[in-house]
Amino acid sequence: MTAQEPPPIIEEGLLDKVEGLSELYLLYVVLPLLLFLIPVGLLLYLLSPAWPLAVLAAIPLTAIVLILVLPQGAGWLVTLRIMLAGLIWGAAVLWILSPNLLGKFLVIGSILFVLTLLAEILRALLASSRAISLFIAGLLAFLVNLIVLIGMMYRLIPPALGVIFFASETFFLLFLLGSLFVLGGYVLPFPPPDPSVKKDGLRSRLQNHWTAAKILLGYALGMHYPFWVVTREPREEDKIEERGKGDALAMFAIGSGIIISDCDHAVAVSDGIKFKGAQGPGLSFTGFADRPMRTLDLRPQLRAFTVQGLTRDGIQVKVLAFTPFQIDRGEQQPRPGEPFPYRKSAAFRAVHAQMMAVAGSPDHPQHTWDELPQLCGTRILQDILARYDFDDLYRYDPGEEPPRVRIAREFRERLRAELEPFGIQLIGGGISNLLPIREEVLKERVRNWRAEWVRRILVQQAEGQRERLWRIEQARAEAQAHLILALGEQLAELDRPDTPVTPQKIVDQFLKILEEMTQQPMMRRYLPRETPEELRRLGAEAGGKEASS
Amino acid sequence: MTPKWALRHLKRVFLFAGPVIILVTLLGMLLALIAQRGRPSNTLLFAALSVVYAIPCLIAIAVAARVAASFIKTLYKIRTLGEAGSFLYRLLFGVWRFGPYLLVKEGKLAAGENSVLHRVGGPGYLVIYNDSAVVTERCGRPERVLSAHLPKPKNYPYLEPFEKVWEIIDLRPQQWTFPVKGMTRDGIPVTCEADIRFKIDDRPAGGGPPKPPTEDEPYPFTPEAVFKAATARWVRDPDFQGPPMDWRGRVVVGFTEGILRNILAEYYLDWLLGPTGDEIEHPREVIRRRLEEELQKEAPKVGARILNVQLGEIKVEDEQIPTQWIEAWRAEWESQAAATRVEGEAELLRMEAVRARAQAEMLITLIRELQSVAISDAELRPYLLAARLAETLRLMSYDPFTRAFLPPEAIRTLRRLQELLGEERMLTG
Repeated sequence: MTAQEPPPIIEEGLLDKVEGLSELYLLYVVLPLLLFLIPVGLLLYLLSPAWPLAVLAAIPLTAIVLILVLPQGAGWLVTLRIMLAGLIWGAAVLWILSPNLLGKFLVIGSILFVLTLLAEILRALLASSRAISLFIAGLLAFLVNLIVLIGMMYRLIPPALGVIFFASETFFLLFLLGSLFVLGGYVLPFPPPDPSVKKDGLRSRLQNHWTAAKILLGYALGMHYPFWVVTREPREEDKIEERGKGDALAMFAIGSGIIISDCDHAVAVSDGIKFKGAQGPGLSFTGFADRPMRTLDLRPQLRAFTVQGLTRDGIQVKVLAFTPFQIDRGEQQPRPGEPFPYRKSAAFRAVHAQMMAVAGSPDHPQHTWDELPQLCGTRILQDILARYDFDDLYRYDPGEEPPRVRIAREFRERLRAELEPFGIQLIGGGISNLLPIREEVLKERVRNWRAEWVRRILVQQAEGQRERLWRIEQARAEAQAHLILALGEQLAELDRPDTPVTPQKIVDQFLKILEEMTQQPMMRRYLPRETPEELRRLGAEAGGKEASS
Repeated sequence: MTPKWALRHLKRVFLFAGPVIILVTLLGMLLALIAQRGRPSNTLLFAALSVVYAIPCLIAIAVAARVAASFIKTLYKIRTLGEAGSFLYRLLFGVWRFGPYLLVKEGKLAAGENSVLHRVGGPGYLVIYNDSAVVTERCGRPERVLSAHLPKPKNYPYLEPFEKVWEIIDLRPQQWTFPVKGMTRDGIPVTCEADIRFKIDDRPAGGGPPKPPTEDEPYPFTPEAVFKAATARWVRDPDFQGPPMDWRGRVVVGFTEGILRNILAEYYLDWLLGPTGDEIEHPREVIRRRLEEELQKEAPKVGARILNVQLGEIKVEDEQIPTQWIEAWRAEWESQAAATRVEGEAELLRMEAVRARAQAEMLITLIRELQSVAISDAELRPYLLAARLAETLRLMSYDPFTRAFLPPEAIRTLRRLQELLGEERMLTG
């Protein structure tokens, strides 16, 4: 079936298709006739020597009356009207032509009885009331057998024909039950037997056939417990689908009820008085009053939720927490060919950990097992956040664990411990970004970041300036050193033992150096114009002469 | 349907139905015998009666089959009784032709959705293209991994009764660009796009190199990895609208988001956005490498192998921050430009100009100092000039900044100059 095809039609009672009930009452035209025949017949035969036979004959007639006076409500078919008329006329003719009164009464009684029961069967079938129709059919079969038996006793039916009748009937029943037994083993997804244990395999296989045959028989007779199938719908309320209109409280149900789930779902079952445990995955059976309470998805679940909390310094923060969890299965992992692992005791605890919200509270009416991590996690995280100042949510020293990681770890540890008694196994978890609820806080952080930047830029600029000054001074010092060294070289040349250095020579040499310096083109750019003149004058003065202009 | 196949199917049917037919016939004959007892033998009548008397048994079988079909229709919500009957037939005798089948390609079911084979299970066939693998379930258990080459090479896997598709795994390389929202160490929200490329693990369980792709198997894998990927799904809230947390979601949303967020939290915003030197690796590359290393460790847990990790640009969420960052960036560059300018200026100074300037300043200072003693007594003038010269030079050298740059020779020269003047004074004195 493709996606374009219409969805499967759910079987409905044909009663809905019948326009009115008027035709139904045509059936009951036999009733006044019966009401007349029964007392007459009874009176007649109770007064005769054959009264036991009269009692036997009266039983079906009484049954007819009882059936007819029971509350009715069904449709009818036009053809039955014709059949009815024909049968009444036939009965009347047989009555007249019958050689004795007993024969007359048996014939007419049987025909009317069969007619009425057929009508009832049809009515019940039209109303989809299989249980009633089959019950009546069984009653009919019983009475037909009784009539045949009486017929044989009174030589109205040849004995061989009677034997064949009963034998055929017996074979029919045996084959019906046998076929149901054989087919039953194929219609349900029984887990394959363990090939390593041959004997037990055969035994369990026969057991499976027997179990399913009973269910099929119950289904055929309309006396069965409900069948439930766990679908792949995402919502819990849609997941469990009841199929087959069974009655969980049926007193005469044959076989068991059925729950079928995929390999990743178990079902918690209860009869309302006692918790029957988690059933499945796969095929499981239910008994009297058993109903599925809810499904248990055995796969890991992930729930993400936003927690709002208050830091120690009173700033509201929010954080997205996520909690992957599953029904406790210890260290077991799924393996091909093996049922999905989980602990039944954990499933029991998980189902019973579900909490009802008090009426009038703002919470959901019920916290199911898969909502418990959120319920517990919210409080834990709020508690943890309350121990931190807002700035501490981000700040940490080198070598330390970041606060977010630290908070997430504590959150996991505490939540794991809290969920364990509920049979829920936390398999990870963490938190997202810790964000202030009010944007101003975040903007303040940005401002802080900006201020820090401004400070650093100023420091950098100051460092640049310092560098500049340092380089200038270095150049200056180098220049001085150059001058001094030049003077030193001159002094070294003059400073000989045979020719002692006099102050005059020092000054002369020094002035000579200075004069040479002033001749340098680069130097001229920085010296005042009068400097060479001043230097010459100074040289003249140092040599005891008047400087020339 | 090949004759061989037909023969095999008929064999299966007769193995099942043969004993039933024989039994029914025998019972019919028995009843016919009873009916004909004491009458002249008539073979034709006997045969006819045998068939007639077998009818109740056949009706019983038919009624049982119908009950079973109706039960199947009800229980498995099959649309028509005919479909249910067909399914029952397959359950009893298997399939008699190649069908029904489900077509699996490109990591999903391409044909057969809502069919009985898909909803209830086999018997039937799977046609799986080489870009997909299937994990089946049967009777409440995850059953096995099937593909174009599993369980046999180049096969169309046969689904056993009630065996159905549970998960389909796309074997093709996957690529997912996922924006991760993180916080820097200074508490500023940033977003970084992670571009993750990965595929189903194709390395043997004990380690070793990946399987090379071949024409028959262009997307190699290991059944263990496929099974791990199939069972890695995390079921989300029914109301959740985001990406599914299957093995792909686990790699990207689960691992990548968590790891990258942790790494980002170790960095200040400036470290993430600021320029780095040529020799220093950019933080983004460091983050990318760390993320890839961590993912390589985590991905096999869900049956995946990381092929490549790339990081997109790191964006700040607050609109003010980019503006501020540009301002800061400009200031930074201005600062750097100033430093460069200073450096260039200093270079010039070192070369000639500043030296000349410094020398000129010094020269002027010296001339002024010497001029102040030039008007003194002519006899003492040379000595006084020399002494002032030495004094001035010495004072200059006392400047700690200058002294730091004066070579030892210069200091020695000054000392010698003072010594000479001292000797001269003693001689003249």
